[in-house]
Amino acid sequence: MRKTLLIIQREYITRVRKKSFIIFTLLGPLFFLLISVLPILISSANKSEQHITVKDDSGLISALPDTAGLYFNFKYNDMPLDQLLPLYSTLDNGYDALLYIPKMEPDAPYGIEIYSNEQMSLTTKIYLESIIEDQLEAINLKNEELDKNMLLKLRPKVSIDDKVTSGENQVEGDAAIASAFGFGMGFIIYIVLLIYGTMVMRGVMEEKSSRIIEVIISSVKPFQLMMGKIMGIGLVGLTQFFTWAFLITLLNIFVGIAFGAQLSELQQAGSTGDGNMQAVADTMANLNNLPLGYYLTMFIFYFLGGYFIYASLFAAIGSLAGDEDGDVQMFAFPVTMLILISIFIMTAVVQQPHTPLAFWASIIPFSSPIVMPALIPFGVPAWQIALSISLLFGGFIFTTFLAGRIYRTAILMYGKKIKIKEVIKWMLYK
Amino acid sequence: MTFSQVSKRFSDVQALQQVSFSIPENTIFGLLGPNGAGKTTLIRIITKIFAADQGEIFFDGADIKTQQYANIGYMPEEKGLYKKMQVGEHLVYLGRLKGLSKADAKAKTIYWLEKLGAGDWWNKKLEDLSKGMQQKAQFIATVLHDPKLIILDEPFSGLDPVNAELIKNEIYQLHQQGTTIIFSTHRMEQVEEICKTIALINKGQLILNGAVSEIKQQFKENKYVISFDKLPVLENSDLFIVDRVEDNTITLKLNATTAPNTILQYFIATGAQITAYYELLPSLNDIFITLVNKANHA
Repeated sequence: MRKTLLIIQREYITRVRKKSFIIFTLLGPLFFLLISVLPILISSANKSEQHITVKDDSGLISALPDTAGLYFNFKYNDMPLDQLLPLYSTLDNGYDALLYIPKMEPDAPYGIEIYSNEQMSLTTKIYLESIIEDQLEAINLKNEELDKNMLLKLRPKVSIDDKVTSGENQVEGDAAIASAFGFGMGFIIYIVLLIYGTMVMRGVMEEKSSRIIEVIISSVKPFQLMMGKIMGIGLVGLTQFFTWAFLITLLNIFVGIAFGAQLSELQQAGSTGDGNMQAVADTMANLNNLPLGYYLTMFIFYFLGGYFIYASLFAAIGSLAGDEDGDVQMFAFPVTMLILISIFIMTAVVQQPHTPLAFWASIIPFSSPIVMPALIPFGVPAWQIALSISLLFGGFIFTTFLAGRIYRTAILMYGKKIKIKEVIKWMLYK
Repeated sequence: MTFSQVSKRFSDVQALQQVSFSIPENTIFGLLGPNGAGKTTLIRIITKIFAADQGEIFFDGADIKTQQYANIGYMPEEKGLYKKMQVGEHLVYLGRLKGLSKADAKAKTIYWLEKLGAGDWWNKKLEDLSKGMQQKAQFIATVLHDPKLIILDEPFSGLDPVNAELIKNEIYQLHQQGTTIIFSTHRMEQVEEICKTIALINKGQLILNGAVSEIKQQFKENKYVISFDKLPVLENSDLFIVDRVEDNTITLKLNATTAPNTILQYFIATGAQITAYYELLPSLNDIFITLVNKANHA
């Protein structure tokens, strides 16, 4: 046991003090933030100004509001269309487009056209349609002597609150949040299994190819070395995870202080009854009502269980490595496939959480580490969790046992290509 | 250390077949054999990396299976260390794995680094050391915990003559302190120089075991070398057969009944001036090749 602790310590310290680990751990949250913000930044940077001249023959549209990228001009409203058409792109500094509104009734707005040298983007077109609709709506309301508020009252906003009644206690549910949260947890575990599983595999391969393995296993049993490595790297994973959780909480608090005013405005807007705002405010309230402690406990449980199962498999695969990299790929492929299949199942079950597929995938140890955390926010009965966890534990014992048998034989095999038949034999015999 | 009826089989290969011999305490023992003979298998059984299928090995009065890892130091043929670690922490780690306390491991690492002229290596990364320097570090890792038994597999490969001499002297010193040393190599001149007793294994079977001097006596072919200042005229004689002639030196194979002194008298009578006369004992290399070839053809 003392020796296993020594091995854990070495595996942990040599990895945690690496510069790449420190940088990735500290900058990780910022990196993720950047990734989520980047598409918005890029698309806004991509926007260019467009100047549109408007020819309105209907007399209904007297002005259109300029926005960040779009500027409207009615200067040439009196010029006939067939004269304006060949000229609009050269007038003044050159207009990008000509919006033509023909003679029409406000309740039958047909025949509106836009001319441009380059294809109009869909978003611009939809935006133009919506601002013209707004103006026509105002005119129509006035003509019919109707009030906009009256109209909103006639069609109230409906939103259904879901209450889940499975298990003993009733859970306040929100399908959207549940699936987002579940997906997030499942996805993190998926990433962890791949990153740290591969790390274990590389570590074993390094020991084998550098030949230090023979020195080490003349001091400790191969199984001790394998378990020490798996646990040490697992601790590295946990360190990274908790550092990230801590940094993200800090980031949240910072965002809360910096943008606190806007948030409370949002909540006030919710209480004054605007439908959309109400939904946002409800979502935020629901997020705070989630049993986060429970989720976190379950998450760590499946994080560790899944990690141990896959890490021991990856350790066995690493020990099979020959001098050529191709052999490892061949053996690693089925294990990687198991993880990939699990993530596919997980994406499916967050949309349909109460299917037989969801049930089986949440109790079979190879997929449960990814699927179960994703299901938990939807409410999973206690007995199913208990079954899943005991199978997870059993699966962990089983895979480490098998992996240990493969590992202790394969780790000393050099030169000769290992066949799958032999591997199966090592698993079955003493 | 005694081996009795040790056998080990890997699925399709009989790596060791009822190997029995013993290694006297406090000796430098040469374990010899061609590639694939079963040396490494035998060493791995001694170092408890795996167990024998049959047979027993006793060391220091106890079954090898119950021995502490701490009693054994092993330097494998394929040498390797964690390249990213620093020399000091790496050696302390290996020492602690063998059961030393942290302080002990540290003190001994410092002692050995100083002793091998590597006092300033503590903070150096192993990947920054030359191959020979890494091998010195590997040697320290083998002896750090004062094992009672040291197994060295090709310890000099990759070392320059100066460092090889340094390590050789350390091996002699350890031997004088009472450590049993098993030395495995293909280099027969090293075996002749260092080892007192040897065992020769071929295809998993023991084919020769004993003290080097006795083995040489056992395999001698009654050959003598005689040198002259000027080569005499050689006539056919029923006393000897000429084996080879080189410059002013003749190698003779004496007939079974001829005494060595008779040869001296014979050549003195020719009037030639004799400058040297000695018995030619076979080298271990010759014995090794003869025996292995014989065994393979049998």
